[in-house]
Amino acid sequence: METSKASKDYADFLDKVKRTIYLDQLSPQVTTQVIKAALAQCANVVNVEFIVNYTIPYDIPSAALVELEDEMQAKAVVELTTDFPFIIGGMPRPVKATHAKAEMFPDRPPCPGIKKDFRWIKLGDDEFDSMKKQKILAKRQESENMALIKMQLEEEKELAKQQQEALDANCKKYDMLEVVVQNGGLRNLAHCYGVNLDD
Amino acid sequence: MMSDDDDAAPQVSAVEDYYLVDSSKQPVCFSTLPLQDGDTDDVPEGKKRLVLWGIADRIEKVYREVVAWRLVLEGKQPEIAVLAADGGGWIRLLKPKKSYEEEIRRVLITAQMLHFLRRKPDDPEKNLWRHLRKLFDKFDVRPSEDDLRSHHSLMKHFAEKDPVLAKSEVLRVYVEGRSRKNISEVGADNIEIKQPFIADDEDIDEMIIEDANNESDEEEDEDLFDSICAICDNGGDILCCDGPCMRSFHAKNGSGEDSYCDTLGYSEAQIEAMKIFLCKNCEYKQHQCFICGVLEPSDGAAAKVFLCNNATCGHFYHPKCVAKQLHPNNRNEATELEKKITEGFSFTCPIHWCFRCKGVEDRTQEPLQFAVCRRCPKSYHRMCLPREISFQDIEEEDIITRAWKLSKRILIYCLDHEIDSEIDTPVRDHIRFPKTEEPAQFLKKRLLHKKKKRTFSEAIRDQPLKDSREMMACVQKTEQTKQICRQVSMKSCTENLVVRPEKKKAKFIKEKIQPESHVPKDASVSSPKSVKEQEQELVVLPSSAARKIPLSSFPTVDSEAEKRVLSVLGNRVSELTLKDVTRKCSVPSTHVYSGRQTDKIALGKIERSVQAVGAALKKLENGDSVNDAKAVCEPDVLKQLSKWHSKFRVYISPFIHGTRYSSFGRHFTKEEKLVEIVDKLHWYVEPGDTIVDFCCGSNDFSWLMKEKLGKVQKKCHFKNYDLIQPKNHFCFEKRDWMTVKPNELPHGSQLIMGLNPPFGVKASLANKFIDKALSFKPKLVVLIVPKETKRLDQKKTPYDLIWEDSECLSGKAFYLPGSVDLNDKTVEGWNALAPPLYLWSRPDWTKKHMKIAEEHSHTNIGKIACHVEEENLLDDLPVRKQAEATNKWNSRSGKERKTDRTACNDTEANLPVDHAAKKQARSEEERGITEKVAARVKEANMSDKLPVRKQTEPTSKAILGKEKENDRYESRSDNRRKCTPDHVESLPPEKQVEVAYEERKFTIPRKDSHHEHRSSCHENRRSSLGKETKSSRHNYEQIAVGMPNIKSMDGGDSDMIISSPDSSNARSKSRSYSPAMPTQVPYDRIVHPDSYCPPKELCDPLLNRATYAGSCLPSNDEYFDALKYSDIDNSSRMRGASIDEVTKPYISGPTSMYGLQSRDDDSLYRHLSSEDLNTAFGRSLVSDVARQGHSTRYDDQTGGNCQVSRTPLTTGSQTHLSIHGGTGTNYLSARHSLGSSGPIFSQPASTTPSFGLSGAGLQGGSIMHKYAYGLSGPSGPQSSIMDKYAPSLDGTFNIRPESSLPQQYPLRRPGYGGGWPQN
Repeated sequence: METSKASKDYADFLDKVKRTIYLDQLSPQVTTQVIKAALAQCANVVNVEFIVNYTIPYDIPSAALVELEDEMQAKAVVELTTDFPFIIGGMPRPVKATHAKAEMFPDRPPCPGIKKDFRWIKLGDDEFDSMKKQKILAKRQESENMALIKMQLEEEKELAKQQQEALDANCKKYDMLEVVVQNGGLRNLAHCYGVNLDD
Repeated sequence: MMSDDDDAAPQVSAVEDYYLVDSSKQPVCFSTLPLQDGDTDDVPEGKKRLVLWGIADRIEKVYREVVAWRLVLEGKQPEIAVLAADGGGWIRLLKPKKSYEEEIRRVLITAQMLHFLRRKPDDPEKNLWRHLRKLFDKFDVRPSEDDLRSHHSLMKHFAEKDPVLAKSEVLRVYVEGRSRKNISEVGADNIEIKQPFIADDEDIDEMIIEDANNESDEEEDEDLFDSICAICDNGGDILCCDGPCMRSFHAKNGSGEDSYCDTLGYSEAQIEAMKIFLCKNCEYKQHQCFICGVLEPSDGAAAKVFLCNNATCGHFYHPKCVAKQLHPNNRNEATELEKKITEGFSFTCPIHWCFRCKGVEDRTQEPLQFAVCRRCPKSYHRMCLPREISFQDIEEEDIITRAWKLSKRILIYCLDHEIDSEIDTPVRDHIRFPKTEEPAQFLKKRLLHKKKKRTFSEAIRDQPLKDSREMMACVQKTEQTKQICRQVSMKSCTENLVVRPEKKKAKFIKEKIQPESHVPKDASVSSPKSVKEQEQELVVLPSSAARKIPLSSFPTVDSEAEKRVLSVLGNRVSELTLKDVTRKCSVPSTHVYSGRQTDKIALGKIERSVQAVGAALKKLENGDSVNDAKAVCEPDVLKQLSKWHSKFRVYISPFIHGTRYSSFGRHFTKEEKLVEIVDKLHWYVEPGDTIVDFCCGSNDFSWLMKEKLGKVQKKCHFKNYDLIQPKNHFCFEKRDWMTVKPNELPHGSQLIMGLNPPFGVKASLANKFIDKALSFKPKLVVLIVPKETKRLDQKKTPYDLIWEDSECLSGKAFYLPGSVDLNDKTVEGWNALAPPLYLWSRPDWTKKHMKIAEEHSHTNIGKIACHVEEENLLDDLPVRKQAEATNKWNSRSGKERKTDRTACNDTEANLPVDHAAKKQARSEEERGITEKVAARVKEANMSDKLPVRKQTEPTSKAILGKEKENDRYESRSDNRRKCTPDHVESLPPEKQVEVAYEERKFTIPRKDSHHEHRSSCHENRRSSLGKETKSSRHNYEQIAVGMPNIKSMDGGDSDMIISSPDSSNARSKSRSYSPAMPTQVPYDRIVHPDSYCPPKELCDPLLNRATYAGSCLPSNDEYFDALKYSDIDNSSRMRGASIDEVTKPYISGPTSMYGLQSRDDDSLYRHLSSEDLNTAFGRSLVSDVARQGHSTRYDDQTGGNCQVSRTPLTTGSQTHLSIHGGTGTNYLSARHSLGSSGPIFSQPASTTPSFGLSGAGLQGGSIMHKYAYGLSGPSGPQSSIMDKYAPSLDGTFNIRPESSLPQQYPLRRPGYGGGWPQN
């Protein structure tokens, strides 16, 4: 009884995983509603779960697990975001969607059939070496991950700066144009010349 | 026809409008005839004969048998002639009949190509294609290599015969049929409709589709400004300086090889990284005098050289040099001018006048185009060009080429400059960049640079430069290194790592590790401040940048790890190029937009042009001639400016309203609208048809269609395409419509296609979609497209219009998926101009479909709908007028209206930020005036009518108060709220109203004084406005602005608005008007009387048409301008823009509110019109109520607020009653008798009761006219009001002082400017 329920739970969970997508690069301002609306063109959002960012006390783009109605829709969304730059909530960069993986869920049910137990390992135990290796690996990965994030942040910052510069430049140009259009100078002069500006 | 081809057949030398048919009357190309050379008139023996039809001498119809053809390339245009079979000699073919063009397109292309190559045998191929593209612009299919191939023998023939052509490399390639390197671009597989035909290498990467307009934009830009390299005077891959000099350079190393250009020596990456490029001259503000060549400071107090004030001219001069040239014969004047220039007086340099005749340039006329010397300020008209300055070498006279033709200009080296025969230009020592004094630092870097060169052998990037340029090179070098530093791109990091030999890498790592060992926390913090560090920074960019991040908050990163990551990344990143990324990100054809390349519009150019406009205006003000002004700022500059402006508007709008924006700017038609469409459409569907929705969006349409057809027992197939998977998978295929192949869909006679394509800027996307759809030859095309879309009856294979319905989709017909406003509601879509719903039929099916349409009376609606002009927006003005006039609306309502209006204006002034958003979509023309007027209204209030002003404030105040209670109001911009405190102590609204009313009265007497003057121009306007809206509006403006007192006119407009509500005086006004009649232009008189004779109108509606249109339109314009400023304007622009432009985000907030409001009203009215009129009445009541609800919500409906709350609803209903009473019987007949102007006129009548005050009527009005017209006849008063209203314009106009304009702007500008940062 117990096991069948557990396996059913797990099967349900796997289904859920299949119809869930992982949205990355979201603007921190994006809310559940925004995601719902944005994806509404191709999918119905059932549930949105923002992934809390514990790693860095930083405003890095947030991520969310978005549960959709069915697998088909999940596929559609993933295709949508990979095929075109898809922007949610005015974030100047497109979001990325991938299919969710079971490991992404913090509350996943135990996989039936696999029993976990915990114990201490001392120096001299058989597994000690491999444990040690794993520990080092984990550490190493963590630091590398951190380095990656750091570099990415820097790059993004630079990119943002560049974009801002470009935008500023364009805005400046537009402002200048707008002034002359607004104060009628352009039009007046055109009339003096007898030129029609509209063609 | 005329069969006068007997013996006495007249000699015909040329025909136009011609076509040729074979014996079976099928049109055939003349090239199927034998080609004959030379001038022989002998009729060959060939059996093949064709019949030529055409028109000779403009009138005479020609019908001849012809047997041969020839092609003559010697002239200015290739000349094609056919030989008459009866011995009548050669007949030149001038202009083909339109329908025949397609038949002979290919041979024409070939002929043009040969002609081009003959004239310019050495031109690169891309010029040829550009030329052809321009010539054959009107065809849907671009000229391609394929076209040429089919006339291979013709080319071969000429290649052998013509000595000039024989030399042409390009032609030889074609003749030999060699495969070309860029065959894929121009080859057969690319016969996409108006796809960009890409000839320039630099364009290939961009792969962005632009429509023909855009291309011409860019080309013109090039023409207008100096678009060739300042160093070598050749074109190509050049970079334009963003500074005042506006010169272009071959900036990239290796570019401009053809002309042996030295280039500026930048690397590709550097250029990429430069958002704003300033040449060294502009950067250090030192420029050369264009006459004496001396490098001097050009900025600030120390300036020794000064810039010419022409918009497109970037030359600097010593005051002395230029003054001498400007007054060569008058030393006194020269000294005086010199002094003035030194003091900052702006001048136009001699290059802008012809050296010989002193005339100005006119680019539109070839003889008046300029030939401009590249080395000194000397220009000639084309016609004034001395013979010694020649386009070709003439050896016997020892003349060498000194002139080269650009598309609208000629470049020359005048006779003062010796041509260096090796490089074909004068010696290139003319440019001097400032030797920058970068003292210690510079030297140090230079050392570093040298050192680096030794150790790292970066020779790839540092091509040695000539000695004289060494300084410059050094500067560049440092620049380069800096650039790289700045560019924290993974790529450059890794490149550096990877490219360098292993040993060096090791060294770097070592260096890096060293400091780390001391301070493991951060790699670079403690790195020694030495050359080493600088070197290191080149490589270890991330770590140096990392310092910017406060260490306290970011976990420390082990630099070992970082390095590992870097190296892993490095491998990956180096594999990745920008091109790969761009390719992946290629935007689907449905969403391409043309707002690209704005970066390439140089800041300097804009700045200079804008300044020049000011300078030119000043000149005119000072009484100088138009030619003088033109020398400063050519007409083309104005056009360019307005083009730039719209370009930027498109480009930048996503940033303006960014935050709510979600991808793609898709807009879906709402389901209830789709149901309506389906209801109408299903009659035309036959069992077995396939219904194709080429851009199905949410895929609701076909689903609804299927349901409907299921009910009526028709079984059909469906096919739906879109790029984004919809929720509803019904018959969906995820495809780009442009990629659907003809064989994938059933035969055309079973196809029904269409619906709502993306519109694109200027409906370019919609056109593309439709063209694609037409290639399937569907029997029916149903479309929701904006009006500017090319109509299907103007296509190559015309379709017939079954019906057109412009109302169906007005109102909130669309929604924007994926967008949410602040309240988490999906943003609903409105269009400024509702895109009509069209049903087009293939000609062979038309009869059948028409029959169906008649059976179900679709056509009626359609016809009337056709007449709905763009006026929708403007319409509510007369409405108001009307309201006032009806005596039911007593003075009180008039007052209220007034408050409304003033409040609007007030709002507008308070909301400068909205401005930024506002600038969309609406045509510039309107805008200019609009804003002016609006500004003035306020101004007028202040200066002339203090009481009025008083009143304004409180009202808006009162309303604000109301709004505050309102949740909706949250979405308004904050500015507005900030205003509130200022207005706190306000009188109760009622009181203000009274004040206003009195004020108004006092304005009336003034009318007569300016009456005559005004009326004449007004009449002009009226008469010219009669027919077509667009032109009429323009006309109006021209006339208006052309008047000497432009300002006062505008002022008049605004005042008119203010005083307009005095409805009670309407009659007297009209009386006061009549005395002025005699002064009117005679032809106007014919028209004018009608406009205020209601009885006549009854008798002769046709006659009235013109009149009413005339009288309405101008008023509309003016009214619109001033009143609706804040609401219509706002919303309409936004709307138009947001739907039109793909990237445009949906806006929201304040503006959308207005839009919604107005939409609501008219959707109700739409019901009225399409349904039973009896029910209409009841509904209009409802609409009143609804509006009340709305107006409490939206602050801009200030007037509405007061009105609705105060006016008993019964009033509204009363008027309605009377209206509908009159309508019932007349309804149909009125509809039909009306011309396009009819509807416009009639709106006022119908909308009167409900729209009385609020700005909401804009759309409603136009919709109403359908049934409303009927009453205008019987009820009389309304029409009489119209003319009363017109005079009222006349009279009041001058109340406002002219001077107020300039003051007004400062008020608004800051706000608008401030809009940016917020976004």
